[in-house]
Amino acid sequence: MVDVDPTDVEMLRAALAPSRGCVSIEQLSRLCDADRSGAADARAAEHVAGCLRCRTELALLKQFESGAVRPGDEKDASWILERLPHDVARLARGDLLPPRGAAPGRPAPRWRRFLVPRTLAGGLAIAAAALLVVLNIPGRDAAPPELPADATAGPSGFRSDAIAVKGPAGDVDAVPKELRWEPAPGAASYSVQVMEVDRTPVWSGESRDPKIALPAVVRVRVVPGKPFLWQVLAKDAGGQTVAASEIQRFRLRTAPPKD
Amino acid sequence: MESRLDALSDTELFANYLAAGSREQAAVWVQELFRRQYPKVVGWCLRFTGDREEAYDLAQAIFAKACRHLESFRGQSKLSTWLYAITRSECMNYLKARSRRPTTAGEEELDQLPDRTGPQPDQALQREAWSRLVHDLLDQALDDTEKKVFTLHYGDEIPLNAITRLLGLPNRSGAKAYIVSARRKLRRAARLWKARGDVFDA
Repeated sequence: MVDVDPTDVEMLRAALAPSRGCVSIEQLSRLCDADRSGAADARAAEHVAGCLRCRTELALLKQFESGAVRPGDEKDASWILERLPHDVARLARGDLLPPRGAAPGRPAPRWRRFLVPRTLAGGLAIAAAALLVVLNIPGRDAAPPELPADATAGPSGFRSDAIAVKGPAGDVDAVPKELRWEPAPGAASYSVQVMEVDRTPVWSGESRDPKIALPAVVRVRVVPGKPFLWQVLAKDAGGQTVAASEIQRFRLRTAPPKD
Repeated sequence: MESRLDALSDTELFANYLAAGSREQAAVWVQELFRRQYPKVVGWCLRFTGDREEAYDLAQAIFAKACRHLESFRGQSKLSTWLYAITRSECMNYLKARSRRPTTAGEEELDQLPDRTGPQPDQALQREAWSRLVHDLLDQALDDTEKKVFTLHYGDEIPLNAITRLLGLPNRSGAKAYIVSARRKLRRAARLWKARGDVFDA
């Protein structure tokens, strides 16, 4: 006879670990549906009724299926839901997602290792560094410093990985009519995206030439002092991304340039 | 186009995705398939992380994985269930990346098992029997929330603060309070069990 403490941590872990009889997620899903349809898998239901682990898992699955947002999370959920469709659109097309939130010391999410081609890693690193530079510039309410036209330039050793951009970049005197860049070797087409400074998408377009006209719907949004970002990706004939520009930033001057 | 897509079931959308002649066409079906799941994934990620930026990273990671593996979806469950499995797995990876083991309330004072280290020929059988007894005691003595907290904390090693958010526990000290009260109930239940003569006998 051995006396056992039921609150011993290892004992609890053993008691609550999955057993061979635990049901699969698919079976739990069918039990979820059975709540509505009445057609339950009797064996799975019997196991779940006596299994703390499966009951908890079923409760979590139901919570997930409900799509309920925790009170207080609504604003954050809206913020993410505004951005996620654009990310998924890119992922669904096989594109990579540009670096995001590359704060110093913050490890990159694991998924980027799988998405970013090695050939683009250098260019994207530059783009991330450039974005940090961009985000450190005071907002439009502050007296804006002059933006140099090469504000996003990185170490010259990496330049060959990126598409060289002609413009617009930095402070500009007039609303740009088009975006221009140097042709990229092996490119059959180009995909362009214009973004707000927080990377909210404004407009995207495709072009076979190393330039693309900015439509009126975008041009009317270019007002003095308001910065925009843009980036171009080069695609080969199969639609695969073969090169990317650094993220460019431009802004219409708030006052006429001094001589 | 949007209203036409709305009229299609997930099964139809997935069939269209498989039959698509180009990546661009396939992307249309994928986006609609996943659009229907955004609130579920985002709500879950926010609960898990308690942080907007981390939840966004996590949601991106989940959909990146789902995009990469969508062709492996066999339609044997609902797409949302398949996505739940990915979501749960990614969330557990997220937690493991941050902490190898959860902080356990009062863990240090509970390691009082007498002579568990001595070799015993039927140790595995004993432990299995004890595990069943402890499981049954938990099921009998604890309330529903305590059971969930215990299962997530000890079964999945999810930290208490994440459990608090995940289960939406409104009390001030969250899951920790449930662990403390549940331990108390469990000890009481064990004493009653022993008093009846049903000692933990392997």
